[in-house]
Amino acid sequence: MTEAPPQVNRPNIWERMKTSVSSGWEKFTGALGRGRDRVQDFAVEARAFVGAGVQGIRDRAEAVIGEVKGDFDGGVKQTLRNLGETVSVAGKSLWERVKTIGERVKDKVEGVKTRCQELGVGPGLVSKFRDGIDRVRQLPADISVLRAQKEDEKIAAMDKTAVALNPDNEEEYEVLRRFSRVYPQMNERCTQLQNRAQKLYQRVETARKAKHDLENERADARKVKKLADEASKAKYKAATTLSAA
Amino acid sequence: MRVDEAKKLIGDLSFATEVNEKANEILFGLADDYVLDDERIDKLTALIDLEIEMAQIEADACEQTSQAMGDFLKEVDTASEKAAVEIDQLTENVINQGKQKLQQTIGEETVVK
Repeated sequence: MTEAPPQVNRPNIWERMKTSVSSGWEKFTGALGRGRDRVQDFAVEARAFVGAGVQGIRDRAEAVIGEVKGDFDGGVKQTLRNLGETVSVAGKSLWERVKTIGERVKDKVEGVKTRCQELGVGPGLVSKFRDGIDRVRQLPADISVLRAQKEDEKIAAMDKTAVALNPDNEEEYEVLRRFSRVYPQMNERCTQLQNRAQKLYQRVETARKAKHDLENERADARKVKKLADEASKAKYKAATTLSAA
Repeated sequence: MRVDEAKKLIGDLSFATEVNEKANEILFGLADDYVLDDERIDKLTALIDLEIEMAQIEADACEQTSQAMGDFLKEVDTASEKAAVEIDQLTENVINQGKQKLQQTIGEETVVK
């Protein structure tokens, strides 16, 4: 049986997590739900099996039920610890990559600033541009809840993740709530970024084409001017020759 | 290129406000049929270059960040799937062990009787 949070004022996060996050997470929560159901069914079947037998048998059956529950909970905790560690490591790696992107962009922003000054373009553009880039860098900030800088924080974060599926504790419930929000938000933002990148690349292409057209026009104008100059020179030369003759 | 053609070209590019102001400044006071001289064309192409540079920087940042986030999500997804398989296996093992222990318990009790 799936242990949904019993509190009445809480949204049914257990159900939401099954439907709103990744297929992997969906499979995971599904497996957990199935596992808990089967452990519960085992307890019911075991009690029915020993029935109204002697007290000794019933006591032993209860001990076996307790062992099964204990083994299952222990195994779940270990699996969650491993999962928490993977998420933590992946989150840290993501954070580093975004930091590197930010550092690379920093120099380029300075280059744009210089170009704007040279061209006499208003300084507002640089700050707007910088804000735009900063927003990109801040997008994965939600993962800060899952990343940890220090080793002890990392272990604490993993422990929290490991027990996160016990909704009785407020703090643990909060971790679960955050975890359930991180994935769909990240997924959505990832798509937003891809769309923005596509739009910008399209803009680059349009601007390149416009520049090309402008330069072609100039080249054509130069050719026309050159031809006109040559014609004029030829006309002058002819006139001079005629006049000399 | 004539001024009216240049204005259309700039309009189609949807420059940032500040760049647009500068482009209008370059074309200010010129008749629509005036053919742009080299100096003005140079200034306009420099503005287009600036626009290209900014869009390229932001596009690359968006693309790279999006890729990094995608990799993170994929990794979490794969790890969750692996955890699901582990939980299914765990369930199978603990239930089978429980059944064996229960059978053993009943058996021992029967033997004692």
